[in-house]
Amino acid sequence: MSRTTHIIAVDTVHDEIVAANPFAQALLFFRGGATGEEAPIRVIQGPRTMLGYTDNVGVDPQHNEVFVVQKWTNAILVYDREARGDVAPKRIIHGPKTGLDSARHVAVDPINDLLAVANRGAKNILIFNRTDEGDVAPRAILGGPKTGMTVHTVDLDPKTKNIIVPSGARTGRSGGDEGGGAGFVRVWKYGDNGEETPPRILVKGLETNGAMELIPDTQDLWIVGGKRPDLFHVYHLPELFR
Amino acid sequence: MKNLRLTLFIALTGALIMSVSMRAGQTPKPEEKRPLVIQIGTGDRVPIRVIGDRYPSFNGIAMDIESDEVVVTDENRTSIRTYGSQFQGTDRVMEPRREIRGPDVGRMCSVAISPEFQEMYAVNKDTGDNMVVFPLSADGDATPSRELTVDHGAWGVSLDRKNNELFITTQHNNKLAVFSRLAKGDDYELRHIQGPKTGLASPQGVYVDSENDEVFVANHGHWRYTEPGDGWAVRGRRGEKPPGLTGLAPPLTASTGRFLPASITVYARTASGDAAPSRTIQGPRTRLNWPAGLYLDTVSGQLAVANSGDNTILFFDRKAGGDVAPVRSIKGPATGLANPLSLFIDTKRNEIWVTNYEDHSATVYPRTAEGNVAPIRAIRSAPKGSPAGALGGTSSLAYDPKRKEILVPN
Repeated sequence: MSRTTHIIAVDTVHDEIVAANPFAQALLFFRGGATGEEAPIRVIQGPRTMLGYTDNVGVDPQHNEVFVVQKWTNAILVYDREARGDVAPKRIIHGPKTGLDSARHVAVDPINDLLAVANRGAKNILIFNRTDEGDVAPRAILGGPKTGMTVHTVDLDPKTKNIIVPSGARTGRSGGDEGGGAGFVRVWKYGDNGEETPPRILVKGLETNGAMELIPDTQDLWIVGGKRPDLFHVYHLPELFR
Repeated sequence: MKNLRLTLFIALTGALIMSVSMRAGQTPKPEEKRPLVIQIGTGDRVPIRVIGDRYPSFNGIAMDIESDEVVVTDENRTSIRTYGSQFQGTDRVMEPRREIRGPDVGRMCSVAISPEFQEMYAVNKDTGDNMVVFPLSADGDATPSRELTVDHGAWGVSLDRKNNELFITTQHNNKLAVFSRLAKGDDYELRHIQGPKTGLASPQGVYVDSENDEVFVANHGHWRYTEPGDGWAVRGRRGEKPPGLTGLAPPLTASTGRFLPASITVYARTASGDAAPSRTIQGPRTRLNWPAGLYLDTVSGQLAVANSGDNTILFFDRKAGGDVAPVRSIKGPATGLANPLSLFIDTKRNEIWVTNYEDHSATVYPRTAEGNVAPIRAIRSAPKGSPAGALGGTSSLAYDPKRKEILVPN
């Protein structure tokens, strides 16, 4: 791991934690119960991987694939989940039609075969087919510059077919802001499309940096503070799980 | 007339077909449904739990030996605190003499001070991309005397008091930048060390030895190829495009990332560009593991290293290079070391100060301490034994349903 590890993924089927190291340009796979200074069980790293600054990862345990978005080269790279060492991506989404612009995070829905990308530069969410490859246009675009929405991460819920997008103000000059420091969670449904398509649910008034996690067991939303990223607020919001 | 009717028929039919096809191809307007709005802060829409660490966690440390004052940065509560350096040992929480807080103080990591100019220089890790300068007497919601833009991901700062230069490391682009002490705003560095020959690999702590004209840098070891002048983070803010990354789909290139053993790299003080280190401390015998802060003991000629990965303080001969064992170390359960990040050596009182990020403390040891020694005294910002969240700048959370645990990458 590095001092800067931003977004990790939990593979519940294979009981693994997947993390990226943006500076050594590597994907690290740990045991689900890993603790302390425990070595990863697999590492994807090397010239053929084409990994650049990578600080995010999404896992598809059903199809045995891992996805990463490349912030600087505007690409989505897909690898076999069990790959190790210097392996080339098995698929790449890359090109001007994709609309990828300083993307930050990719989420995978292996049941409904969708990918969602938090496309930070364009302030929107791009929806692709899970198996898309090459220079392909997204099948749907949500949000955008007119909405003023900031995007950091995105979550897909295969059961409810919800697309959940937290937005927030990250402290500092490089963080961006929305609504004078306020934070939001927007929920769209699969099939929604267009910048002007309003979300189905809008959670307002959160003080957050845009990092969140949904806990289905308890129908809670965990959200990370904006001015105080060391503080986590937990809200019971069953509406987000319908 | 017949031709006119035919033309009219064709025109009307064409218009009809066009009209039908337009309707078929048109994207339907989104339904004007109002979203379900949930306003947080009203009714029962309040947090059911808040998780966090309410105590300051110390990161950087510097000392004004003559005025007996210690300055520490508190990354957790975003403040800079000043304490007296001489006090009776106590396990109680100590209140600072002064505390700088406010919008200009973000997640400060390293700090340096100039007794001559009565200033402190505190570097913001990655939430402000700046270094702020305050008078040593600053207190409360103070306005910085000046502010300097630095690369995103900066960490270490060391002041060359002899030559009035500030040395600042940046993890994200493997760079050591050298600024005038008076630099401000978007001033560029006077020079920098950066490039594939430098051995810089996620650089953290830095110490400039102006007597011997050398500079020491601690490296975690996460390496990628970096061109001299690569300043993508700061360039982005200045509206300059990083080289080779213009357009929406810049070409994918071979990955260059590697894991190198942690190291201390040493350069001539005036080195510039893609300069190879004059020597490198690196290898299994060194025991380097996530080295962070550095400080040179000018009496013993030993370089002290806050080895945050295994809770030790390592000491190397100033002239050491290669795969060498430390000449001594402070290590063990009695030391109270817990993720030590920065240190300072007080040669006047023969003491070494260490910040412990995961123990809400700054601990003090004899300058020549070795082994499993208890601190002489400690500044505590929380009751002894309080769990330290060490949550740093959390950017995401992940849920492990099997263990019903929240994972916090940090």
